[in-house]
Amino acid sequence: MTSAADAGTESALARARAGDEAAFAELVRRHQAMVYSIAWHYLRHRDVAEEVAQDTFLHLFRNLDHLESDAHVESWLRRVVVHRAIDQTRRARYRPWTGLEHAPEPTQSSPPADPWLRDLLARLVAALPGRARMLVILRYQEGLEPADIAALLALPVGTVKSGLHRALALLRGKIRRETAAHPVTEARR
Amino acid sequence: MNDLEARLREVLARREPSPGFRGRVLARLQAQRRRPARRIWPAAVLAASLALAAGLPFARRELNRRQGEQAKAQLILALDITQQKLALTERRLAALQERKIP
Repeated sequence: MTSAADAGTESALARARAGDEAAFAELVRRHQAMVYSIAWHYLRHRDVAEEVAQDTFLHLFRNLDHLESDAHVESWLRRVVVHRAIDQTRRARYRPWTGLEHAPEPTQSSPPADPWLRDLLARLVAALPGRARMLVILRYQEGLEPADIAALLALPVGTVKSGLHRALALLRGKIRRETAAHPVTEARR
Repeated sequence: MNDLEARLREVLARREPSPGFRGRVLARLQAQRRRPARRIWPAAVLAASLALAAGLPFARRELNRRQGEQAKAQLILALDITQQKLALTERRLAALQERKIP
């Protein structure tokens, strides 16, 4: 059974395949937040993340004939941008920029939270080693299960689970140390 | 789900790229379509490199063969000259011997 949304997407996919630029633009609109966010959260550099995201969509255009459905488009794009972001760091011996001055705003409004803690957590995620950072992004940005992450990164499921466990433990330890060093002040309330 | 995981979902929420992203992707796409000929260059360079790589051993063999033939011709010429000199010397010796013997 095909849902109305799926039918619309498949139609956009089919039209894009036939050379309809507006249909391709619609595919970009649907998936740009996912693609850009993976690149941004991993690379922490707005321009580099945008370039990687653009390259990913140009690669999509060249491979439209190999795609079957929206679900396939989404998982295909996710796989491509993940590997392109990882390649980018390898190629340029790139270190993610951990500053938050130019961070784009989240797409969905979130409930009010301690901004100091939120910024600290963003910096700590950005400072994680590459593989741990990608595991955390795929688990908490994309909401993927460890088995899906394992398939995407070609890793054993056990490695993904232990990697996530270690990353969370590392983050917890650093948050504990930082909050002990910076107790709650009026500015943080 | 614990508090840290909830905060991670919040911190790692999807974000939109800067305005005009779609337009920039389409502009790059159109720019690529306008210059399809450039794609020929890498293939042409590759083909030329392959042809050169394939032709080099042949050219080297041909050069060696020509050098060998030249050396052979020079050797034959040297042997001819030596043979002529020996014949001349032989004739002169014979003439001398004829003069000594009455």
